[in-house]
Formats: sequence, structure tokens, C-alpha cells
Amino acid sequence: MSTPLRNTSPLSPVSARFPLGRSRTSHATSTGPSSEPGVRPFGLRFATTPTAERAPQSPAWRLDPHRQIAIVDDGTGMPWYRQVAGSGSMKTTGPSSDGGPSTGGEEWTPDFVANADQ
Amino acid sequence: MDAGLRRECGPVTVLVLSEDCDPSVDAVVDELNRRKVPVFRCDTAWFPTQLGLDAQLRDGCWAGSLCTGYRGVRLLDLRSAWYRQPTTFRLREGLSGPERHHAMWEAKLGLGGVLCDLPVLWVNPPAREADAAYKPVQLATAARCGLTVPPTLITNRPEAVRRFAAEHEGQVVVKPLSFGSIVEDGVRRPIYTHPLTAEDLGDLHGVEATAHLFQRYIADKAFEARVTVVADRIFAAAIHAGSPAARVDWRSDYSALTITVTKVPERVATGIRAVMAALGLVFGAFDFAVDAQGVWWWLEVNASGQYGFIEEATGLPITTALADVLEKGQR
Repeated sequence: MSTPLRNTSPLSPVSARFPLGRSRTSHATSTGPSSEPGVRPFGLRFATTPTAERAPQSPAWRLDPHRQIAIVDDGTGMPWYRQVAGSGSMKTTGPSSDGGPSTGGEEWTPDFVANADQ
Repeated sequence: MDAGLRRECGPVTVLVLSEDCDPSVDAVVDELNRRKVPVFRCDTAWFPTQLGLDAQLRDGCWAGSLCTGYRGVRLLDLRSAWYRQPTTFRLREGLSGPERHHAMWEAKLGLGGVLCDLPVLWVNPPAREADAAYKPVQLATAARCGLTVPPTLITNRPEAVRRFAAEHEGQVVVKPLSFGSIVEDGVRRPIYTHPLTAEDLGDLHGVEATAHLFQRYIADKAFEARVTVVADRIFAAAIHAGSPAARVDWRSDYSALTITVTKVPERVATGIRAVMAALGLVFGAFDFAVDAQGVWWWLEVNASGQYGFIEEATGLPITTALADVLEKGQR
């Protein structure tokens, strides 16, 4: 039997109780140019311009439906996570395909604020 | 223990909700496979096209199943659930905007509601994870739990920023309250912690545009620490920055980092455990700045923080700890 609902906090209303993020392997759907100076939030002045550096190339993978892990797509069945270990790929949990560099892998952007992706 | 004996012992299956491509998840699932612990892995993005839900309320519990094209699981067979950054529902093509909005909400409240009510151990409970995203709550909770928190200001008033900077001799940083990047013109632009300069303080236009978080800068950092907590186990790593950029925000220059195992002072460990309990978390990635006097300044906790790079650099057995917790469950 589950416990009674614990949280009556106004912090996580209905929209946030099951927060879901945009897929890291999909392109950003919310994008646009910067606003005019004076309108842009102060904190965004310090958004950095990415360098040409890109995350290391990782081998192609596919999901093994029986083991439920990604495997290297070369017929060997090697777990993909073992193949990428040591390459720096563990900084993030997946390749970025939205044109930007790795920003530390803390890039889960759940819909706490709004369901903008929805 | 064989599968038959497991069934006699009660719920045995671990539910993993995550994106398809996540090497940290793969390592945990591989470990659970090795232990012969049944796993049902899916992403919420698979719903409704690749993930089926059939749940019926019986005796105050949701009974029924989840299924994919390859496997299924009875809801009452679930022992634990790992809420590891699942992604948004992928609906069928052709829906209008209003239909899409409706279908998204129906999916969230339907699938999300059934899953959230399951009597399983959640790592982490989704609503607790949502609460923990509020940095002001984290900061106040950490202070109340006995941790040392840098003086912090949250404001949309430029005069408050000037006052705060004067109080701290201009040693102030600004950092985002929410996401660490913004996508503009199709390019993701990271937003790292930024120490304010005299020039910044001379022109604070834009502070009034929204809430901003300012904090006293811990300038005499000896190192930073990433402390990963899995239930009652604490894994601490020291992050030594080898470049000016990494000294301010280690995420900005991974190639300049040296990561080693370190030990958390007992007083800090007690505070960490208290924060975990107060926020209702089972997993958390805590960031600290440790100054030259050995003071551990609490910066934040990320309830969905990454740990793969820490494990890779140090060998700390975080994957094993997660597998232990998920295998054990709570029922």
C-alpha cells in the first residue's frame, strides 16, 4: 500500500510533478535570436559563445532490446558505454546534436517552468 | 536467486525511466542484468506510440501492466523505479496544436499519475526532484541543515546588487537559477558562473528583467568537491582546476581538471544527509567549494546530476551503489 500523498508544497504544482525533459539527442525546439541591449536579462550577458570544440566522436550505437542497453552497432554486441569509457564521453549522457559543445552534462531541462516543449 | 524464488519473495522488477542514449544508465542496467535482477527500461518519450499502459484500480492500487514491442511488466511486480532524466512524450504526427497540448497533459497526468502512485522506491521521487530544482529552497535548506552557505542575494533590483557587492568588496558572482545554457539562433550557449567586474557593476541594465542569483565569490578556493550521494552512501571527489576558467566554474574547462577521491568532514556529511532527508531525495550530486582554510562552502545539489565522469576518473563505485539501492527497493 502506498503512503498518503506527502507533499502539499506549492513549489511543484501539477505541471511539475512528473517533470520531463527535452531529449538530448533531438534538436532544440525553443530557439531565437538575442533581444536588444537593455531588454536582455543581465545574467544572459555572460552566456558564452561556443568554440569549435565538439564532443569526441563516439561509435554508432543501437539499443539492444533484450539487454536493454546501447551496444556498438558493429555486430560485436559490445556495450556502448564500455566503448566510450575513457574518451571523455562520460561528461555527458549522450551526444549533442544541437550544434553546441558539452556544457557539463547537467543539461536536463525539464518542464518545471512551463510546458514549452509541449 | 532464481526468477521463481524472486516471484515468491514479492515485487522484483526495477523500472528504469531514461533516455535511450545514456551510458550511465547502461552501466547500471548491465550490472542489474549481471545480477539477474529483472529490469523494465523505457523512456516516457516512447509513450504513447511505443509504450503501452493498461492500469486498473483494484483495492486502492494500480494493477495492470506496461508493455513495449519487446517486453511487458506487471505494475505490481515493480520494486523500484529510477527516474533518470526521462524525456517528453512523443505524440503521433498530425495533431493540431490544441490537440497536442491536450494529449500531452492527458499523458502526463495519466501515465505520470499511475507511475507516481506505485508503492515502489523512487530514485528520486519525481515531485521531490521538481522541488529540489528551486535553488532558493536548496540554499535555505542547506543552511538550516548546518551547512555553510555563501551569502546569497536573489533580486530584480539593481540597487540591491550594488548594496550586496559593496558588502562583499565586489567579490560577487552571478549564476543562473535554472538552466545552465540558452539556445539562441540554433546554438546552445553555456551560462557559467561569472565573477562581476567593476564594469558589470557600472551597468546593471537587465537585472530588472527577471530574478537573478548573486553570491559571494569564494575566491580562495583550494578545490571544489562533487559529492555524490546514493541513499546512505557518500562518494566524494575533489576537483582541482588547472585553468583560470575552470577555477571559476569547473564545467567550463573539463580538460583542465584533475579529479581525485577525497573525504568529507563529518560535520559536512551530517549536513548532506540532513539535506537529502529534508528534500526527500535518494540520489543527489552536491557541489562544494573548499577554501584555503578548509571550509566547505555549499553551492548546490543537482537531483539529476551526472556522476559518470566522477566514477570514470576515480573508480568510486557509484554504479554499484545505485544497482544495490534499486535491487533492494523498499517493499
